[in-house]
Amino acid sequence: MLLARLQTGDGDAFAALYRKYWRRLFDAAYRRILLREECEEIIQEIFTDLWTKRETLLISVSLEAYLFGALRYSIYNMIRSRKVREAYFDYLLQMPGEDSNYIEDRLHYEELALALENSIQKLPEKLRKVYQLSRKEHLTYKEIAEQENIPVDTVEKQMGRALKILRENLKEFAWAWIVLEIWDLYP
Amino acid sequence: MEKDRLLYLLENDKKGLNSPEEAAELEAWYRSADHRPAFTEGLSVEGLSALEDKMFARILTEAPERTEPVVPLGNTAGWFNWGKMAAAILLLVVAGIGIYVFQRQGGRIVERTGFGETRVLTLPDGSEVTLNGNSVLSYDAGWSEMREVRLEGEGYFKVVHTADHRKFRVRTGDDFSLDVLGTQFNISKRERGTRIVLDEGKVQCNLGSPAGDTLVLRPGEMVQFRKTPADYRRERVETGLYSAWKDHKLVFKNTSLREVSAMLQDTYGLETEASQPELLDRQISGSVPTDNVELLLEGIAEASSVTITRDGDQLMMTPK
Repeated sequence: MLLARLQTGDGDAFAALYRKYWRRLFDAAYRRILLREECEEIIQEIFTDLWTKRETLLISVSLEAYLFGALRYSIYNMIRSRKVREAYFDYLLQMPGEDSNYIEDRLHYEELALALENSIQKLPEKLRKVYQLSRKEHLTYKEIAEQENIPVDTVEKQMGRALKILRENLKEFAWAWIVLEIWDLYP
Repeated sequence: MEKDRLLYLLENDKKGLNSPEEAAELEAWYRSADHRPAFTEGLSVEGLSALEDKMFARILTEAPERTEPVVPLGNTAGWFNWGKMAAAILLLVVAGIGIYVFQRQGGRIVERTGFGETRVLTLPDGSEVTLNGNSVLSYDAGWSEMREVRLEGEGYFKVVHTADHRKFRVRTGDDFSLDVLGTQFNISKRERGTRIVLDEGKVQCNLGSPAGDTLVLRPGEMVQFRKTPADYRRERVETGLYSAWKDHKLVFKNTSLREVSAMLQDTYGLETEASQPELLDRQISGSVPTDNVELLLEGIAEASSVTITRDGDQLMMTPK
């Protein structure tokens, strides 16, 4: 169903597929590569590919099997091309458990989240309220208007201002800036 | 499994040469990792969505037809004025001489070099920058806590160390900058990518965002990337090859004519065509003076045994 919608160029279906599979794919990649940047790269490529080739894609098995097959292919390539540094081979081949990479790499994402959160906290109160209702509680503008007892176009204006401020603060966060723009497509 | 064994199985797998037993061995290795813990289970809700959003944002920028999330980040309309830049280029084509424009715009000092022009600038703190041709360096006139300059093009920096250890930052894009204490290095941001070559001292590259990755370079190292800083490549190089231009020469070492052409385009505004495409794969080695374009082209032609004919800013390479 999602696959059929994807093949007609439905961006929402694409987002839904990403949301459904990214986490399991990332975990599967991380278990074998143990380097977050390389894993990010692999997942990004798989989905970029899926989108670019959506019209010509012939999936004879299930989409899930296709994605995990693509993942394995990318992991093999990554190891073959020696992008995985020599020192990691030891981990890759022997380490049974969770090594310090896990901890360091997780910290990276926590810091990333913190930087975004800090910028949200610095918003003027009214804007922050509207922003959080929309982005975190996933209320529609209409629902926010009702709850806060303000006109819908005021909600829109305040959201616009909040996004503008965040964009300014996060100028160096190219990715976050983009996310702010597309969040509406991806509730 | 041993590393060599794994690589052997992977090579075979690529060529379809694994026996059924070998294929099973590789499969077993792949499956064995399933027992490792799940990375994302250790993340907080916020960390999880940071990772989810970060990758998705990148996917959207890579998949162009979906939406247009890209980007003019930063103050492109401010100090960097394409109209003025185009005018400068036009003047060059007409007059055939290098010019530079010095101007203040909104408290920002902007220094530019024309095609083929190199120029040595001294910054307010005494640091020295040699700008290569077709480059723009700008900085705030009232330069306070942080020494920060912005560069499009190529420059060789000699940064002085201040008594109060103030940082010196070179920014080439909203997603890339580098921080220095005192050091000498070459940095170039051109159409085909960004490259940093460190001669002396220590610099820290900031990839992406404040909380993003950093990368510390040691002397003799080069880092380059095409578009996305995170996709960088780091290698050890002969640094002299990359900064020879500031001493009015170019040094090639197994450099392909394709790379040479890209440089001629970036620095001199000359567009190259080859009568046979494979000509561009030819490699040259040697040193060529850059004091004048004709001599430079002659030197390149000599070193590669091709004939270069020039018509305005168009070059044609044919086999000799």
